[in-house]
Amino acid sequence: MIALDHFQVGDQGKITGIQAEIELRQRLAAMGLREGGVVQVLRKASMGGPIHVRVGTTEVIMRRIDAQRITVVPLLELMAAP
Amino acid sequence: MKKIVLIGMPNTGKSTLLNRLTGAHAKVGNWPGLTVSLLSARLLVGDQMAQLIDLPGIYDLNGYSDDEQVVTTYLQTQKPDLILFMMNASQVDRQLNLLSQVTSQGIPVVMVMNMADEASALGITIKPEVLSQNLGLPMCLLSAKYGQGTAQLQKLMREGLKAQAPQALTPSKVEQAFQTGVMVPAQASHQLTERIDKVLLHPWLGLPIFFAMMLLLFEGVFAIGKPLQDGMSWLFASLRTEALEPLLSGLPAMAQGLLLDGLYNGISTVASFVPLIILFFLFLGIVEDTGYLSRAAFLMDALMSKFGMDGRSFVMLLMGFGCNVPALLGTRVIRSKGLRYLTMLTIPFSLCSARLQVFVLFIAAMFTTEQAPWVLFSLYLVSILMAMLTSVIFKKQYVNVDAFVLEIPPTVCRPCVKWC
Repeated sequence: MIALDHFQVGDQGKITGIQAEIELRQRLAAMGLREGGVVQVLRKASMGGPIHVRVGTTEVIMRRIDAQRITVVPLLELMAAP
Repeated sequence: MKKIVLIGMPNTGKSTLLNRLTGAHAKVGNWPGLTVSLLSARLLVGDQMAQLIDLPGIYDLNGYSDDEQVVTTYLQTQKPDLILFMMNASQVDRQLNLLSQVTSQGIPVVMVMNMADEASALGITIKPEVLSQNLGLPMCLLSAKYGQGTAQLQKLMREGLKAQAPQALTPSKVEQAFQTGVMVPAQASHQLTERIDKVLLHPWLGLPIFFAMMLLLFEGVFAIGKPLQDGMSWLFASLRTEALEPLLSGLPAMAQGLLLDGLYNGISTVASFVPLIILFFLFLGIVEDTGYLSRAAFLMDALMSKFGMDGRSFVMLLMGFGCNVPALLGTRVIRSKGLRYLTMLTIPFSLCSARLQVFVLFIAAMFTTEQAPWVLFSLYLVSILMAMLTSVIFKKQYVNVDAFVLEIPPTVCRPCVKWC
């Protein structure tokens, strides 16, 4: 289980937790980022800028500091587990 | 008069539908108890006049943002007769929660699935009859941009105004209804957008491309706007010499000075900027429609965050170098009040083109030709530093409470979706 901001470009994972206050939580949920959702990192901006992710058919950009609050299990890991 | 409100997430095409249904009669009105202005227009539904109101796009009815407060306050105080719930047909999964909240307001609801054409281009199948039956809500498919499905919507609105409020639907019930009503392919993605984004959001090429595009935009605005502005100035000047001066010649010199040099010159100078502002918003609207501004925000956010602002502020600051007035007006797209104020405080330091002319005049008068470019350059440098300094000073006072989480619109060019 790792934080979303540590994901590499192209990695896919399942969201297992969001550690954020209710306000941000709702915003993220409204974009489709909620527990159980599958998220893929499309790109990261240079100089520590935001990351660009896709969840379902929605594409979202967010700062790494916010992505840090989202914990994800890589899909590969999930498939390898019995 | 019956009131019909449009509720939905941002970018679901509410305003497009309002304009489509009511023609060019939409007007911005101020509402009691609300601090923002809402777009509304009259509309003939069946044989009675109704008022159609466009509420701000929201993600959650129980949310805390300014826009969400506006919508909840509106629903409580104005008690509309019908809710048109706008959904983006290509992104149904994330709008279900809001739908569930909307059905529990005790107000009749008509569901409008907009961008139906885009959804089918993505391979998404929507069965309106199944959905409508599962949910117990009337619904229609629509393409607000191209005007398909509006006749059906008219009929539903007519019936909806006489209907009872629906039963409140729980989120799980909504989810179940959609499982059988909407089929989304496993990998729905916009391949064209992906290819374009590879270039536009390129780690190193992205910013130069963005600056080139903005330069082109400014050039366009001024290439068309400047002659129009000159024309307006000429018109006002001739009006003064041909009509006003002879008309007021009987008055004492002081009254003449007050009316002509004070009032008339002041108003006409401001009015001559109108063509520029209109053009600027027209161009900006086109860029906004393509989704490029949120991509620019992505590119610049790293730098802006150091000054307490974010990517959106940068876009506005840059606009300020063209003309401060529309840039200040444009800050309304920023949701957080703190960030909006901070951005507005820094924009006046963007050296607009009008000031450039004054600088050039003074520089030419006071410095040698070798010094001149450096003086001008340093003025720009100082202005940018001042803007950043202002932001650093005030960033504690005007805190940006809004997390920088932005949706990247699915297509850079909506009509292009059809071709790929």
